[in-house]
Amino acid sequence: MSRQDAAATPMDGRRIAGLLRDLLPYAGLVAVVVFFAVSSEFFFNMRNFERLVTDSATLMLVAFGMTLVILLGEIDLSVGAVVSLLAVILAQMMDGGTSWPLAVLAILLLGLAIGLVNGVITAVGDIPSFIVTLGMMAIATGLSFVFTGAISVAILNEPFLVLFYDARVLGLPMPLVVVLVAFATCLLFLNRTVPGRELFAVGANPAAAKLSGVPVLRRKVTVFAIMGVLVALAAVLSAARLGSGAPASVPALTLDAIAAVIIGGASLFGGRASLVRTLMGAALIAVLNNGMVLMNVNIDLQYVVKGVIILLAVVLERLASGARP
Amino acid sequence: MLLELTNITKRFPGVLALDDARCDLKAGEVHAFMGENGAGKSTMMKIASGLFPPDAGHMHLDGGLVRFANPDEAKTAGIHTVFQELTVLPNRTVAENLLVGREPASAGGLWLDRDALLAEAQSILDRLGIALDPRTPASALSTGQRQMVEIARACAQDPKVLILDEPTSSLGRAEEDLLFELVRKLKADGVGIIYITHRMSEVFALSDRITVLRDGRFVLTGSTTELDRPALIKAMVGRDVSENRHAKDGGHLPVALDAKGLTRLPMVRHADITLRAGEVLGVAGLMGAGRTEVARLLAGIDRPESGTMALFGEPYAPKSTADGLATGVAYVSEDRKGLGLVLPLSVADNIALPSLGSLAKTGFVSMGRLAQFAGDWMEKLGVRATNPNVAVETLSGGNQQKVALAKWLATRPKVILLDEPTRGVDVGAKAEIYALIRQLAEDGTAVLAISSELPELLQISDRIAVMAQGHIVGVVPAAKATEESLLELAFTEMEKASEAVA
Repeated sequence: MSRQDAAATPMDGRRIAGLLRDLLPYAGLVAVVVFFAVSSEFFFNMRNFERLVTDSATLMLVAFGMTLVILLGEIDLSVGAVVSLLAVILAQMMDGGTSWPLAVLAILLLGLAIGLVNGVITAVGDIPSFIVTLGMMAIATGLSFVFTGAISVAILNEPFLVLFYDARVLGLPMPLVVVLVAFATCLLFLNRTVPGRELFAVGANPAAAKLSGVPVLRRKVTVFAIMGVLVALAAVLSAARLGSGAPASVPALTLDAIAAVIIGGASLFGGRASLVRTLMGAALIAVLNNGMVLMNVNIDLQYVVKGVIILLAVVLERLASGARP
Repeated sequence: MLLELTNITKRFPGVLALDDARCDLKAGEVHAFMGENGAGKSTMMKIASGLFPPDAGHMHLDGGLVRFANPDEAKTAGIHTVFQELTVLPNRTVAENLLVGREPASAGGLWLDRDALLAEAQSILDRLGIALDPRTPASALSTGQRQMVEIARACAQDPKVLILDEPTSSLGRAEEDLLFELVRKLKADGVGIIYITHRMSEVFALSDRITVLRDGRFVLTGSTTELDRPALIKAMVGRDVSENRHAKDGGHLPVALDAKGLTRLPMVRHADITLRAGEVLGVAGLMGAGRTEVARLLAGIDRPESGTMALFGEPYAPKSTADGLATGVAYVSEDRKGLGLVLPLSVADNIALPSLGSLAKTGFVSMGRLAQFAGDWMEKLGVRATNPNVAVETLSGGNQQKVALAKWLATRPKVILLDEPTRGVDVGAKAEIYALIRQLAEDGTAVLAISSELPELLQISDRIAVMAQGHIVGVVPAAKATEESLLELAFTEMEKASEAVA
């Protein structure tokens, strides 16, 4: 009792900030949809929505993985560069005559391997993921330029392009289907499996989790591995959408994915993140990307807008969680 | 009077740390502070050094009323404190550490004058008779040497009052002598020294007066020449001894956990522990006796450097907490917030955390079963929370502790190691936890209970093991033990051991 009484005054400010934080992805999404529907004649129609959804599939997949990574209090800065690199390798493999199923399988395995490298160095080496994935980002960027000589590699494999971009399942475009399946799988993993549920404890208090018998290091590696597979899937969809593999093909992806998770109210200190709210955050970013293009907003200005939203979300999260020691 | 604290009261959530306590200090005296763990000595000193303000009471320095908003104000006023936790910067040299924040500089405070820094540091060391090279990096120093640097740093600022919180706890015998010499030198210079210690021999060797605190209250201040050891122990304990109606002789019970010669330096040295199924073995000892460290070895959190353990007759060598849990050994940490619970998570998630595997028979965690499981355990332990989904951090200390106990009891351990099971818990919840501990033993669980509160141990234990300097110095039946006898054992053996080490 006395504890609650004493904390009454600061709690109110915190509660309001918490409410705003939790509302931000939903209210923000509604706000940008209304804004663009009013200001652009091209925005509010089915054709544009379908384009919006297929365009944002890459972001969605990476954002789901980023949610798990940030839940652990880690970060992955390499995702954009690795998506480009994997798309390049995929394009080159098919260009060299490899069948598409084999090429896709190889890309998924390669993505898994890159995730494992990030995870093992971070967890076992006890090195901040910030710097580990920064290194991986540099390697991936460099390799994608080395492999291509900075020239984009066209994908002419028709069945591949059809399957991963044009095909429909139950009337839904394939990229959306992949996103939905990935979302459901991640949701099931995070909330209903033992390793998934343990992630909340690992993120919030790794020492306590370890004392509770949770294999903390293994959980970290697992999450980076999952991230690797999602990044590879994102690379496949991205390559199919662009019809090519090119270095630096998704320049804003890393920023957008982190923004989506942060707008979703996750704590960068770990222990707090939600896939559903990340989905909303990613949708918000996707609508922004789409709407600003429709309205011919300068690309540099787009960064400014996203940056402001990220800072707003981070400050709200901080205020809501109070000064945690 | 140089320093005077009067009518000091300080309340922390769930505990009254100081209750109308007082103390005073004269210039040029060494004033020893004694009391059991949790008596309020450290809280009093933290108030004097400006770490936090008292809830009530006044402080006078040189006759003037003072009130410190932060430690810097206390330092400016001339009160310097050397705490047990060392604050020496390991990547800096001795000189840099000595003069941190006060480096001699030229060019308007921008340019660090390295020669002046070294010269000044050397003169401080010379004045205090400390044989250290000021250019040595602190990381190359022993713990004792770092302690000397810490003390020298405080002395370098010409303190009026110097507070030393258990300064010898990490010192070897030679360093101890050096420290005593230093203290006497400072005393001769007119510095008032408050000296907190658990070691009787130091008190009588060094101090002019002694103040004893107990349960946050002032008990006595007396001249050292007029006090003797039994009088001090009586003053430190002196409360009604509550009856232990449960204590039994467990000699016939089966041995659950048997540890021989457990060693993990520096905290645990050749500790032997026999824990029987169906008994509560209390573990007493002063701060730093190695109690928590032994429990961590038994639980598999740390691994012993040498020694053997057996669990129900089988060799037992856990490599991790998971191993311990798998074989039925659970450890409830004294550090509820840091190690015991995940505060932002819900009550249900905390209770279920070590048992998730058993709730996922199909490969997926059944949410229905998880809620049921958590609800059952909350009910069993009487956890009062509006619902199982509220964050643990919103609960009171007593309820948090019950959640921590529920979490571990839910793994159905055969051996449970409780480290300070009632720390930060109010009186009502304490009684409930005592009853629970007794019930566990009745049901055949082997219970090891570490506590700094002797009355608590006397009330819940069947036998009480006393630890000092990393080993078990005696095991006594709780029915025959008194607070005096336990404390006497802890003090005597500690001094014997520290002499043996030297």
